[in-house]
Amino acid sequence: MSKPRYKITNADIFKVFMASWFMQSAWNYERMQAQGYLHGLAPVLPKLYPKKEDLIKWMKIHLEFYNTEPHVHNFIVGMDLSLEEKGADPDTVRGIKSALMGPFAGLGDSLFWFTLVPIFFALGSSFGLQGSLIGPVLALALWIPITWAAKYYFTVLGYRYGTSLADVLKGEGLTTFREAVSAFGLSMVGALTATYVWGAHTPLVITVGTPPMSVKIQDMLNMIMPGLLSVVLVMFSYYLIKKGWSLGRIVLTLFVVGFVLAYLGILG
Amino acid sequence: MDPMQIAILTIFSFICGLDYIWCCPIGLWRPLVAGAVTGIVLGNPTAGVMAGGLIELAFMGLFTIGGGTVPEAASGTITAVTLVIATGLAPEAAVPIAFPIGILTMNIEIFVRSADAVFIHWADRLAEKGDLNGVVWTNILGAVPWALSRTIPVGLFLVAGVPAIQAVVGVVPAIFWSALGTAGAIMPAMGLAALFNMMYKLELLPFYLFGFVLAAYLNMPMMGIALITVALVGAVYLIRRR
Repeated sequence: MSKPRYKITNADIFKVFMASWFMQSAWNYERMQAQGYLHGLAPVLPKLYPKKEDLIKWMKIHLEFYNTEPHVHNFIVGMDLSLEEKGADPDTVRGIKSALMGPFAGLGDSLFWFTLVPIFFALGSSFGLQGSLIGPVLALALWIPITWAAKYYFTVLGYRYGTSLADVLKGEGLTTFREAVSAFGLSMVGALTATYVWGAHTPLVITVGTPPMSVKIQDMLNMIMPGLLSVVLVMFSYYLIKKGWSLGRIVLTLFVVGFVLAYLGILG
Repeated sequence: MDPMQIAILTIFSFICGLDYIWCCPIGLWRPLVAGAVTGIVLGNPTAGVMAGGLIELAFMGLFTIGGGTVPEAASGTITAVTLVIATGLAPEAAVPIAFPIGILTMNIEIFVRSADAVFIHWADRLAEKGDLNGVVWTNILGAVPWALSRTIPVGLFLVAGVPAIQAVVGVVPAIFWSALGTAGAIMPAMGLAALFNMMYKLELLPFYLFGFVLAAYLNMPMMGIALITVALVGAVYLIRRR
């Protein structure tokens, strides 16, 4: 095979980063992000393979099945760039892509979707629920710069450190980091449980004793623990998730329970 | 409703679809943001951001992982927020309305996920000719069906659904709407449970308790809890490293 002689520049990396926003633009069940992957390499591929038959060969390689998490995807593209610049053969490139896309998807999902999105947007929601537009502004002021920087620097790191980066990412440091982020996330979930399950409140009043005295049930519950009903509802939902119920079924259950209890004047 | 507002919101749902599938340069499709924008367009940002925030918490943790599908957040938010603002219902009532619309969009999306294979076959033919630009443009075009999967239910609901519901709001007894609101206001429990499930580890349970106690007993604002937790987590991991 012909060995590429082109040296990738910083401008190329930036263009690859910008094109990476389209990495799942035409997502489909058949080959998922394959077309987006090739799109992402469009700024450099003709420079790496000036001969048309090489270009066609590599275009076909990059149209093969591919699917990972869109932010950590940039690590893989970066590594791919460094490999192809050094003239790697198709099997190596194919191997790296398919070996990394699975583990990286797990990493990216847990970091971006299960951690950063909930934290940023839950924090924003706490302002939003008070009717303040600071909520969405704050959430986006965190989300936009952090994700743009992440995608850009992941490309740079992937290119610079190549495949040795894959070992670092699977190592101890990252596990610790993820655990620390989960600890932070759980604290936020705890705070949100106490504050924003608004409906978990009972208007019931009972009359007891002689002379008759009316007692608000909610006040009694608050004496045991404020937010008790909220915790009960969250833990009940968690129990259903653990039981393997589908999310749709849980949503419907919560809705029916909430609606009926509110209709009967027990909740609200 | 003003036709101009319907047009703007329908276009907005298209943009949310692009933002989603281009994952996610802005973050418009999140309910908190989409709710606020809908509220601004309809002249009631307060109701929009409150309803959006509640839907955000209820949808939290519902993410598409790999090839899975979940109720779509943006279309549910835009329609539900429009409905509560147009009818004057409580913002909480938006949550149970957002789910069925989100599920409708999800089903259209499942069709798109199959149909979009057209573009990869197109790309295969372009690759035979070495037409890289063609692959780029067909890839960008592939986002259009994705965005339309949001726009179609939103457009239909705004044109036909909202006036229909507006007509019956007064007929249905008020307790129905207040019960709907209460049901909506307990649904964040579901989103929070999904999140709890993702992050839970027995050793980390004290952190959940920590956040809960600060909010429930000390009524500390969320930002304060976030900052003090960063301090605590930082301290714990510093000690562990020593």
